Amino acid sequence: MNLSLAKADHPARESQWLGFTSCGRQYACDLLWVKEVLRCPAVTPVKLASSYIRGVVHLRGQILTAFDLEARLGHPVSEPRPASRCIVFKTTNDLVRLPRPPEDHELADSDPTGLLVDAIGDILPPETRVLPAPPEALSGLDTRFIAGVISSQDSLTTVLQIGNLVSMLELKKSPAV
Amino acid sequence: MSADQEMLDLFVQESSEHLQTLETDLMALESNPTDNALLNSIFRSVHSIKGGAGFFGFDPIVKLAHVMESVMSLLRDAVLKADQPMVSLLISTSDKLNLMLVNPERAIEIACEGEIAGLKAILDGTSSGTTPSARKGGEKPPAKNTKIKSDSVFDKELARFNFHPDDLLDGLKHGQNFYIVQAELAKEIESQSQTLENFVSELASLGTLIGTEASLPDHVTLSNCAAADVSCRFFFVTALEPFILCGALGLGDENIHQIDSSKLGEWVKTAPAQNMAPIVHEPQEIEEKPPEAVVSQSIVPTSPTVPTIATKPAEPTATQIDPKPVAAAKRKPEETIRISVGLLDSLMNLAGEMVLGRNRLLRIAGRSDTGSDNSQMQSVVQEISSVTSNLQDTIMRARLQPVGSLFGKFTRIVRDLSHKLDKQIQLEIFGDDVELDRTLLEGLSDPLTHLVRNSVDHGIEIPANRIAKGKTSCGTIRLSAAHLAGRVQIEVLDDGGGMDPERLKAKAVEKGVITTEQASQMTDSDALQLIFAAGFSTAEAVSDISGRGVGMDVVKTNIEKLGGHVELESRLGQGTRIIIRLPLTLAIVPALIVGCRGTTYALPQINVDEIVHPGEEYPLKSMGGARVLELRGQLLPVVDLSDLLGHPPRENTKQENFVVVLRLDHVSYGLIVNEIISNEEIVVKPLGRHLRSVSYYTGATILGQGEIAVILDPNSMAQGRISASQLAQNASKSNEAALSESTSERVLIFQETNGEFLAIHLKKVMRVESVKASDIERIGSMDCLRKNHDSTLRLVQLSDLLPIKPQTQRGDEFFLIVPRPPFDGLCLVASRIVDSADLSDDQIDRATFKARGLKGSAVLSDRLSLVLDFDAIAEMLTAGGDETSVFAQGHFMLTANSQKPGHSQHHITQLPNANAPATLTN
Repeated sequence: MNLSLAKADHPARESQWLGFTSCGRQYACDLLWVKEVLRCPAVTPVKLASSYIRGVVHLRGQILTAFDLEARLGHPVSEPRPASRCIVFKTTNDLVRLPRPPEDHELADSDPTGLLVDAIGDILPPETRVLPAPPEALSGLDTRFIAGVISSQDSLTTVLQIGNLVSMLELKKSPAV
Repeated sequence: MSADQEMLDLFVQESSEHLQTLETDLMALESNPTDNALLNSIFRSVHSIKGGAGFFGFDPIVKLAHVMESVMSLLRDAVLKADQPMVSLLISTSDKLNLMLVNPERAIEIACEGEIAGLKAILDGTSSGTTPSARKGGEKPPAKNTKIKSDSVFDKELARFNFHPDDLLDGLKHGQNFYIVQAELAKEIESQSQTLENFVSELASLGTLIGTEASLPDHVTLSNCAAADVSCRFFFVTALEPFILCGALGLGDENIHQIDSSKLGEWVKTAPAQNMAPIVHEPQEIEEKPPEAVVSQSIVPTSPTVPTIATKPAEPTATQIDPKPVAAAKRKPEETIRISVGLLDSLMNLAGEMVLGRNRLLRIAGRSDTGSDNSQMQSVVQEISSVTSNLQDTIMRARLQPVGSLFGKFTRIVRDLSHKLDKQIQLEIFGDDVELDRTLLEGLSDPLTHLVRNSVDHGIEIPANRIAKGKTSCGTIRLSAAHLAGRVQIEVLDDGGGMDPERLKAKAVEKGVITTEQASQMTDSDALQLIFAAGFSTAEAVSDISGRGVGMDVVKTNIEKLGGHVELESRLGQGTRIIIRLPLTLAIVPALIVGCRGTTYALPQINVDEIVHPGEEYPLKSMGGARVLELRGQLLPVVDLSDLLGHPPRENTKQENFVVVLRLDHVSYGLIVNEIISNEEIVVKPLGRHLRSVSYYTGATILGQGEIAVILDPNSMAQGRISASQLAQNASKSNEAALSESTSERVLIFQETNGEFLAIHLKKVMRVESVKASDIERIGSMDCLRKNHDSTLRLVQLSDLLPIKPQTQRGDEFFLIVPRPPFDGLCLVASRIVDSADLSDDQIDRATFKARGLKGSAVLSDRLSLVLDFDAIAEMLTAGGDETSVFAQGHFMLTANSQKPGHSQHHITQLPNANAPATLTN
């Protein structure tokens, strides 16, 4: 966690942030992780899978595992909404080809993974100031997936730690349902 | 990975391949010691290893390879003749090279003095022996018997070359030997199936090429130059002795003229200046392509083998070799490149994606509302469609490798083992060009090694015993591969002692695998299958019995893991035949697509036994909370797929359900699904790691329209839901059922036309389909039904094979009886399915109707029916099918080699065709 914060504050940071929204909340993630964005993907639900997995998506002959962001973060999940966008993350193979892969690239999956979100927002410049996330004990948030917070005039944007998000980390505590 | 390391890896990899060829060749050499092609190939392999090792400075490898190479060159020049000990020595040398290559840096630690000394002794033996011309060592003597040119000739000879003086002086400084190598392009180079380019690069690998020159015979003019041979000369400096050079280049002594280097030194000083290319001139690179080449090519466009005529118009006979365009225009030996499997997989994915796109395109093009240019569009779509299919097929084939690479190693295993056991065994290999998926080949290696070892160890008897039994002293093991109905069949056949069913039974009873009662009811062929039973495979159990058994259950499990299956036939005293049938590739499996609450799932066809529509005939019952299906007197545990996967219960329970009966190793159970959608060949895709933890899923697949279906694992579904006691109960039942089946079996009664009633054993039948006549496509003399996009069913008219009333007119709708794998590529045509009945073996009257393909006749449901012998029918189709065979994908090895003379005749001709139908018509 500290590592990533150090990195986020690092002045020499080159990669940009991709902003997006889900359930009215604003998020951002390292653009280096993003391979593409699918519009209105057809999600096939998979039974018996973890609650944060909404299903699978057919991505050019490969099977993409689609995450439900809200469920993954432990937010109470309302009725499943139709997915309007899917952010597809790079796989291990994609990441090793990058000249400067993100620090948490070792956590990537060898098969495609993606995050279902409501809308894609702006691309934020690399120099955007990322504040450390509030301590877990105070906020009650599961901070393993949170790299920090970007504060702008009217809102707070949660910066996600994609490596942890796509990895197989066991839940430390029961999600706040 | 550093570049050096990469190169080193490549060297090791390549050398290992060379060693593999080397070993195969050496084995072959043993039986055929004078085969020049073999000797050449061996020489080349050793030479390449030596070259590579030299480049990396692995001296021990170079040293060993060099001695071996020298011996090989003597063998090749027929100075020596390979005999058994010599071949053994060479083999052990190649083993040592192999060991060294495992860790080339530490090659020095591998002791190979014995080999080197042995090979040196061979070399010394020759040099002191009969052929002084092939002497090794001593720098000058060989020069004496080659033609040394006088000074004047010298001038004339060397004046033709255009060379760089530095090369020459360099060679002189190092005391190397100078040669002029003369070769006729067509006669000496191309006859060895080499290209000029290869020849030149071979020369370059042996030393330094100083200059090249080519000439056409004097009488040649532009008009007849196409037919004339070109004589090439290479001015060449190397450290090698003349006889080695002869050997390395495959040229005779007369083609190589050594030049006295001392005289050469003087000549260089006095030589006419124009021969020396000035320093500023580009070095005489062999790849150099003069711009004139284009012009001259247009002069002689018809003949790619004639070198282009270069610059000097005043000297039309002296042409300059420009190897590049010549080589490019010629057919090169098959070239290969290494591609990572991952890359192939992604190509495969992309091709699959294109197929989906094409399918959508086809649908759109098929619609009438797309406008006036529909027909144009259609033709484009058709074109794309066929290209796409081809593309997919080609990429699929790129994953295949010939089984020869696997079979090859058995020559060695059999040779070594038979020597050790003092047996004489000949290994015959057929069909080594049959191709299989790489992963399958890897998985096949262990089971096959096991089977071959078994054959050598237990199957083939020692020579004395063989002779006592009236066989030849030399046993034969035949390893063959062939394409069969879209699958690959691999066979291990030996003419050894075979297995004794009675002793197997006795052993099985003793081991507690079966009871005495069961044993007494068992047929011989069932008894043979006992060796596949787990728990039957202990070492003692085997050595007592005439053979086999060690880990045969492991063999079976391994093969089944690959989606294949094993069969075994054995005749006591005559030998054993083990047949392995495998799919062409692992990536594609036949599957049953089912629907459950609107979601589609795929079930591996290999586990699907039958599909039952529960109702009055097969009632679904509840037994203390567990559901069972009453199926022909058995109670089958049943699991509801929607419960299993946690679909919420539905209000509307009236929905029609199907029970898919799934068969595992020893158990069967039913799976309730809502819908049977189709039978498809699916491409298995991995699921992401988050979904892999769900044990019910083995992967996913993408169906024709792009939707995803998860592939279910029948094994883990059974573990989840069916209680152990239920399984045990079920297991005992199915065992009993299996036993009772051996006396009385269920048969399906059908009619091909309105004539005879035919009966086929239900255990041979996978499913019955009803089709419309319009779905049938006729290709040549074959009727085919196209299934999905890439699999085809061949329709078999029994009246073509059996003496029954031929079919005159097919109805609009009729039935196809699809047999179980491996014969699921064909199906029997039936106009009517009549009934099913129980038939015991002794009910069959074998006397009245005798024909191949028939077991006999029996009275079933008050009608006289002919009982089909499906195995024989399948064999007739295989053997008699010739070029129109079902197995069009490949060649059926055994037939092609006329290994089964009795079977290759077409059986219809042997039958009393004329009167049989008359008797049978009712």
